[in-house]
Amino acid sequence: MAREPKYLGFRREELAPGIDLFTKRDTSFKTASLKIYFLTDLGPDATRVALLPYVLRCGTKTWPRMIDLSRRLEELYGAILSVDVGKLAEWHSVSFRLNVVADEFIKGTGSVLEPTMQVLSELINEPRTENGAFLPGYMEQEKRSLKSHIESLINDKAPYAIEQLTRHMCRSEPYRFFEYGDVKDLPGINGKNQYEFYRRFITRSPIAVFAFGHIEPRRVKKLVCDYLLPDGRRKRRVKKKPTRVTPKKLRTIHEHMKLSLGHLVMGFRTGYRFGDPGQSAYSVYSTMLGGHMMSRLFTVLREKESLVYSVHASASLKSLLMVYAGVEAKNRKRAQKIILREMKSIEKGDFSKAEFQNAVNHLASSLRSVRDVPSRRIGTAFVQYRMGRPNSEKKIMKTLMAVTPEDVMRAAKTVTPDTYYFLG
Amino acid sequence: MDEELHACRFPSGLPAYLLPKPGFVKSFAILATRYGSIDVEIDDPVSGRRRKIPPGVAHFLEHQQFEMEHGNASEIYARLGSNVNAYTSYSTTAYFFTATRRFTESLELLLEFVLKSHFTRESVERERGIIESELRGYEDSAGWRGFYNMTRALYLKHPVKIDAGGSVGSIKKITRQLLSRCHELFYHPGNMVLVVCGDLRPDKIFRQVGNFLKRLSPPPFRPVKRYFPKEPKRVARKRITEKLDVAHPRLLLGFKDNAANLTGKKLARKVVEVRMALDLLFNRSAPAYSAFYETGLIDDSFSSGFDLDVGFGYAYLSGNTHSPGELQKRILDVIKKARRSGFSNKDFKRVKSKLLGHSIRYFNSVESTANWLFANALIGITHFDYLDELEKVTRAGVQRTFRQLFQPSASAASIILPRK
Repeated sequence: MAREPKYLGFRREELAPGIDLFTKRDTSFKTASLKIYFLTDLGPDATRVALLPYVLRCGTKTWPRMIDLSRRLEELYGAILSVDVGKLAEWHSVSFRLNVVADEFIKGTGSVLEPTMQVLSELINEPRTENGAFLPGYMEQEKRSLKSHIESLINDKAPYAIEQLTRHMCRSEPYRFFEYGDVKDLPGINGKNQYEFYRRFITRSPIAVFAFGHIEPRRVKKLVCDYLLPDGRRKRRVKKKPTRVTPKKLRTIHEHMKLSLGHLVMGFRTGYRFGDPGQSAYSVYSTMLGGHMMSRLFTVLREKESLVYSVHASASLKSLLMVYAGVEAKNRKRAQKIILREMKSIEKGDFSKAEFQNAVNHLASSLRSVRDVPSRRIGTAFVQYRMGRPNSEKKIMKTLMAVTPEDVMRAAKTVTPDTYYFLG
Repeated sequence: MDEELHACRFPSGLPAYLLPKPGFVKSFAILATRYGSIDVEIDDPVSGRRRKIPPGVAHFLEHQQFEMEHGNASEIYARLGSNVNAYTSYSTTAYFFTATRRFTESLELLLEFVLKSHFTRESVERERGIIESELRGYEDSAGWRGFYNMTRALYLKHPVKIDAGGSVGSIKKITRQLLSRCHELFYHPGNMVLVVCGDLRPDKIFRQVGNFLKRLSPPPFRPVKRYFPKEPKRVARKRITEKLDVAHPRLLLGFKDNAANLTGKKLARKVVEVRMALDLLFNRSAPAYSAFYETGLIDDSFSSGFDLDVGFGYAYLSGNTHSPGELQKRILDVIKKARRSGFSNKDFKRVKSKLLGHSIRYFNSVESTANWLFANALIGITHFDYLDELEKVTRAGVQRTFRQLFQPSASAASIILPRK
């Protein structure tokens, strides 16, 4: 039998079709981390998906109110149980995160992991309901809270600007949906239809359970099977690959707001998908351009031109490249011109060996350090798994080290402007 | 707990702490000076004269230190594959890096670029432009403005109310000479702290630091005397309101600590006690939180905190709300009631066990371990002392401290309103 490949050291086991368990023991950590992902396609149901974990967190059969749940977790040495939603290429994830102190660091007797799993199990499988619907009070409360969360995006101007660009740029792709949904959908959601949605969601979404840190893999498997395993009869499936778009004409958008500092975000499409050959070269390119403190844009726009405080370029799983610069409105044109000039210059191979090496070193260091951060380790392994690219740290490192300056120039050539956006 | 702390004090006066983390890939070091935004009036130890320093110098220095004789520190860190950064707070300026390789070189560089100075007229002018852009960014930030306005409302005289980075106007007055002088005064090893954490050998690291300091051979340490005006007990203003481009109104309700005269273990104990009181009254497990949340008075952003330093301190509650006035009134009602009734033993025990669990989490990363050690080192204690204080905390102590600090008359509100 072929050996099952590992995802950054995580061993995978299929518990049921579409339900996978990933474990990795590492006792340098004093806690056990558990993360459960439910995945679905990003789409018009985004608001319902976003609302779901927050409604579940309101109460369960045994702990019917949020205050009861919170108190129970405090008793368990401050066990952390948090929920979140995320966007991964064109998938939408709902995740439940658990972090508990390992039993051996707790004075007295008894396990903390098992009773915490019990809480989590109820939260996912036995939420508080009434006549086949979520409680109206809870629904109103969480709809209000989600509304406020979505509207608050504008309070932080840089992430707001980046989200606005995404909406404009991907206006005809599923990626346009914000992971927290849209306030317009909220009035149509009630306890009854949300409960029906919940039932469909938990029986049809692929599930990945990650356990990492101070754990005993066999015991975790037993606990997961005893407490968490939901219905395994239905097919759990999501769309395979994100849509691909080639930009036709450059669009420019200016949103006016009275601000001291403006925010410029330039959106580009790239030729690489996660796991493609050449993806490492593209990572080196985006890092060299704006991925660290000595990147081209940081050096030129901040250190040389004294034009910005913050500037960066970031690549996403959706094959987009976003360049952000916090710049005063009067300097916007100049900043934009410099950014494009510098991109062109890298494309033509106009960069030093040191500049290239700095980017490689930065990526290598960041890759090595994933081992020390449980959340990053789980997150990275999950991406590998979903993209169907199991890999070890060693292999990724080898591919990275094989990237040449010519590869970077080739990667730079695949970058095409799509939409430029300015807030201010 | 299997964590062993190594400590040492060098002849130049620098205390250093190292906590080995076998099995970790990352190493982290933080070197900080006791010099922050509140140090604006001092005695110059050379002339003996009292002098004023314009706001924003500590922060300007933080930017400027990265300029070295042979290049920029960030650039050399990038070559080493390490990440470097810095921040300026009320009473400290801290420089830190994370490395996965070549720790020795990265540490040498940290000592070099922080303890030595190299300012040119051009580099100072260039940095001025960058800082101006940074300050403009803060002017639009609701979080930043909220805090700034709260300290201005709480304090009449103490420089904690000054904007930590200074203003676009005040940084215009900062010259190369002034920066040099402040570096001499405040960046003496005797005024600093070094904390290191990672899979490292303490003897080797301490030897390296010792050798560097020997070569640096700083003059004998003469502590700089700071002056802080006598702060009245009352607050400057009951409320400051500002309009910004935000989605919802935001309340920040601060409580001025009029007994912030502690150091060492006593200070640590107080921090634990206030944290517990805030959790008991306003955390998710508290009835008040449920009541506010269920009626839509607060959302997920509601939180609380306590900043206590030597000589000043404040506790605060903050969050988005449709009605800042109503939320303020309700918070004060909860406090008034708790001042009379105190806390139940059951709740106290539960919250204490949570905090004990959380303190174990600090050891999960080199950064959080080191930052925790660092915060303790600044007040002259170790994390063992802190854990000791956490074990020893009593319900009576929490109640006493709570009644001392949370007085409605010592509170002030900072409110951010949407522009539209």
